[in-house]
Order: sequence, then C-alpha cells, then structure tokens
Amino acid sequence: MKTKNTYALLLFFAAILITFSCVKELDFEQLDEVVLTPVFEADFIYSEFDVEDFIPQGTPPNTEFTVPSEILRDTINYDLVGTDFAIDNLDRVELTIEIRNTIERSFTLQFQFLTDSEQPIGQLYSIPVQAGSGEGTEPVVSFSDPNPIILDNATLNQLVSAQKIATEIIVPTLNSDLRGVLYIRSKASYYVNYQL
Amino acid sequence: MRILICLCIGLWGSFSYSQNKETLYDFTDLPQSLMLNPGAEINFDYHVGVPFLSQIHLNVGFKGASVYDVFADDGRNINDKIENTINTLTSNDFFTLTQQLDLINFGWRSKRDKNIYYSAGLYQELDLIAYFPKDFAVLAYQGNQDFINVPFRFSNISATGELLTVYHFGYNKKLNKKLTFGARAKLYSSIFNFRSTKNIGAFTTIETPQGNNIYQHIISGADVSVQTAGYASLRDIESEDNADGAKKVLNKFIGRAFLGGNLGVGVDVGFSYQLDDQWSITGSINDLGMIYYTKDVETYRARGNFAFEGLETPITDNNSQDILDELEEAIPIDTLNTSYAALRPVKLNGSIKYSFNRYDNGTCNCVDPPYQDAFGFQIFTQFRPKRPQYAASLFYYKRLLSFLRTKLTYTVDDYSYKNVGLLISTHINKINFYISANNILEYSNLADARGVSVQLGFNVIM
Repeated sequence: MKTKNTYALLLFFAAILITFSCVKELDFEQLDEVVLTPVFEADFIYSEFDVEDFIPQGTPPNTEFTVPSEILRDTINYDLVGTDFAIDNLDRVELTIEIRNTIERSFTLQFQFLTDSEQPIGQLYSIPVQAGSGEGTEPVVSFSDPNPIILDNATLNQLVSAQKIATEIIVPTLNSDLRGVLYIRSKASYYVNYQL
Repeated sequence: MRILICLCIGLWGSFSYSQNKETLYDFTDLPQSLMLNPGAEINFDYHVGVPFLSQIHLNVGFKGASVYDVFADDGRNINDKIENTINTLTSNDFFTLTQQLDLINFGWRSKRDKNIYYSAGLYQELDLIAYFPKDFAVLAYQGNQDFINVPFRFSNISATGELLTVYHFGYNKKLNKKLTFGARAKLYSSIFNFRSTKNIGAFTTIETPQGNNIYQHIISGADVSVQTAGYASLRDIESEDNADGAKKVLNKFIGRAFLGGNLGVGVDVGFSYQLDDQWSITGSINDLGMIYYTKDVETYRARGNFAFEGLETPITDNNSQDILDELEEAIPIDTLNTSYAALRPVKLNGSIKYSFNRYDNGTCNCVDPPYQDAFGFQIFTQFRPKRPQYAASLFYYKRLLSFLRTKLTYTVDDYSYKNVGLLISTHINKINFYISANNILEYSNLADARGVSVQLGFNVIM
C-alpha cells in the first residue's frame, strides 16, 4: 500500500506541475507605450445674422443704416481646456469656422479668449467674410486663414486660464433694401494624446 | 511561487465564461457532485469536507480575446494590438470571474432509511460578469471624429457582480432501483451586489448640413442605472479614512456573510435515472432563486434627452449658455433607495452515460462491483444578463485503480472547440483529494487561453 500511496502522490505532483505550466512571453512593460489618441469633435460657436431683423422700424427703402456694434458683440462662457489634466494631454485643438453669406456686403468675425475676469488672453482672431450675391443665391463660403485655426500645445498652455470667449460680428453700413443671411458654423476638434 | 505567479497571471489574463464544472458533474465518487446535482446517485455513507479546503473553485473567462492578443512580446506596437483587439471584440463579448470556496460541507446517510442521504454546508461565492462596452471603448480610444452619425449605445454597458455566502441543506433519496431524486434548499446571504443591465439610449454626433451648426450632439432616450446593495455604508467608512477602515469593512462583510445582509432563497433540484443496467441519464437545475435587496440599497439612475449644437452668439434667447448646467437639468442623476430583487444566475445540467467493464479488483466488499469505465455526453446552460451561455461535453470516466479515478472531458462552447478538461481524484483510505482543470491544452500558454477553470479539494469519505 505504501508504494501505491507514493506512486499516487508522485502522479499528483506531476499533474499539478503540468497543470500549472506557464505563460509564454508576455511583456507587461508594453503598458508604458500605450498612447490613447482619440479625436473628439464638438460644436463651437454658431450664429445667424438676418439683415431683415436688424433694419430699424420705419426705415424708408434704399436707406443706409448701421447696426450698433454692442448688439453683435457678446461674451460667452467657454472653458477651452477645462482642467490641468486636459492641457497635459491635449496635443492640439483645431477650430474650423465656416461662414456662409448671401448678403451683398463683406463682414468680419472676431473672437478673443478671455480669463474669468474678462482679461484678453492670447491673440485676437479675425476672419474676413466675403460678400454674398443676394437673397436666394448660393451662399459664398468663407473660412478662417489658416483653415483650421490650430491651437497647438504651446498656445493651449498660454490659454490655460481661458474661461470665456468674446465674439463680435463687425458689420459695415447696410442698406434697407439689402436682404440675405450670414450663417456662422464652427467646430472644435480636440486631439488627445494620453500616455498611460 | 512559480505556480502562484502563473496562476495569478493565468487567471487574470485568461478568460472563460461560466460556472460550468464539466469534470465534476456526475462524478459520483465525490460528494461535491451533490452540489451540481442534488439527485446524483452516490454510494458513500458519510462525508466531511476539510473546512475551507473541500472545494476551491476558480473560473476566469474572456470571450472574444486573450491577454496574449495584447501583451504578447512579439515586437508589434501595443497600440496597434489594442486597436485590433477592440475592433475584433463585440459588445456580446465578456469577462467573467467566478470563485467559490466551501467553508463547511458534510453529509450523512439516514439511519432510519438507508436510501436517504442528507448533506449540508456553507460556501462563499464571488460571481462577476462584465460585457465589453465596445462603443465606449471605441469612443475613448478613437474619439467621435470617425464615428459621425454613429450612435454610441448605452446598452453596451452591462455588468453584474455579487459576493455572497450560501447556506444549504440537501436531501437525496433513492426512490427505487432506477430513480434517485434530490433537492437542495439554499439561503443566500448577500455581502455586496451591483448590477447595471437594461441600459438604453445613445449618444450620437449628427452631421447637420441644414442645421444651426456643423453637428448636433444628441443624447437620446437615455436610461442608465446602477443598482447597488451593500455599497452605501462602505462609502461612509471610506470617507472617514481611518487606519482601521479596512478592518471595519471586513467586519461588515463578515456580519453580512452571517445573514446580516440582504437575504434570498433558492433551490437546486435534480435526478438520476437508470435506463437499464448500463445506460443512465441525469439532470439538474441549480440556483433557481432570487435575492431581495432591501438593506443598504442605492440605485443611481440618469434619464433624459439632451441636444447640444454649440454656443450661439450673440445670445438671442434666455439661454444660460452653461452647457453643463443644462445637461444636469436635462438628464439628472437620481439616487434612489428603492428595494429590488434579482434572480440568481440559473444553471442547467444534463447528461447521458454508458457504463461498462464491471470489475472487482478485490477491494470491494459488494454484490455489484463498480464499473471501471463510462462515457457519455453532457450539456450545460447558464442564464446571463444578455443571453444564455451553452456548453456541450463528451466525457470518459475511468477508474484507473481503486484509489485513483479520473474523468476526461472534451467541451465545445462559444469560445473554444478544443477545451479538454481532466479531473483526478485519489481515494486513499478515507481521505480524498481531487483536482480538476479545464482547457488543459492551453496551459502551455495560459495567456492565450480564454478560459480556465480550476477546482480542488479535500474530503473525508466513508
């Protein structure tokens, strides 16, 4: 019986050893090389400027008028990079701005990042808008130059305290006979580069 | 040490799928077969499992991929491998972990009626399943730029986890020469539970050529909830941040393990039937029951719709233009304390067996010496949140020596067509030791295996 027991035990250990034979070349240090590079697309500012809405009441036909600049100036909350985590792991942000115009006038769109206390920060961005060819025609499309506007990591670091954005549509003298609409559409593409 | 490391990596990395214990099922030399089929036809008169050691069961599974796919030292860039793996996996692939530890297990044959065998005990179980949240893995890894107009579905988020102890008492009766029937009553004592299933809704970035802006970001029909029981009170402990926080958690766990937490009831039933002298069939249902979560319950639920299309300038309406406030208002996260009940994952087993080669090697003082060989076919099903899991096995049972009995299984399931399992059981005097593992062909490289299940234990059997 003793030999049998020994035999059984030996068999057992053999079975265990075979059972727990090991794991082939795994390299968990590869984790250091993991980089997440998602690209997130998010809407940015938009606007619609219809000439008809801005003609002062009682203006006779074919009369020149101006729109008070403060009406088309605005400051909105926009937390560009959010947190320190975001700035450390953002490769760049690309702003794509597309302006379609059917008004037979040229405009300028300006925007500027501001701190929480509304101090300007970074550069003033100015985008000329080409004149359109009138109501009912195919809109003339203008883009920023360069297109897109690239906020690289160095620029983002300057803009780290940006909490607001000031925008203004600079409108030339208009005529009460003018018709047409100016559409501003834009998006921000966030290029993340996150190393584990 | 090497074994430990291998086991840890193997279990962490390799992945299987269910609580299928194909080698142990209907292995009637072992009292643990009564835990899988309370109607198993057993022939011993008394058993005691060595406390804490009578059954140690571990099962880890990953349907869809293996750790080797990502961490192989093959010179390829890990980021490519991760991307490939994410692309290969679907939201029906999952990770599971089941661990069971028998704390006490014993049984005895009734003195009044020799056809009745009682068994009882207490075991602890950890059961976890998490489906691969493919859409959100893609969103995190690639972003939404390449997925405009493609919904990221909240239904991808599906996971449940439970840590509990089970008190059980089983009754096994040989009704006649042919039929043995058994049932086991179970009392579940839940230590911790979370579940997030049946989530609906989606997040989509839609391109809107005619819209106000380039895109519309839409959360539509969202209804996402996480039910927890046993979590809220732990969170309070954590926030105190005491040095003895861990001790307090452990004390709470122990209290709940001993019926101090959420309770439930369930039953196992099963039978064995001899078609003739050599053919037999068996069947069982396990964990037909539910747990009622009434104590320490917290459910987090977010419901609603939301659309965002950028910041309008100049602001024309009374829009606050604070998108986060708007989002919170549109899709508030509610914390509820409503009780809930959840079914235990029901498991079904069935088998047909042909026994042959009756042989008395001189150790059996019996009229009918035991069959030395048997082969047959087994099926297993387990109900899971998204869909049941199935497995089918061919098996061969062999009494090599009176003290050495084995069972070899070949199993086909969702993941593998070459899952070979082996159980070895030694019976030396009254002392029994058994060890079983499946997917043994994969042990030469555990990391590439998608599922590993190991059981082992010591018993005293008479």
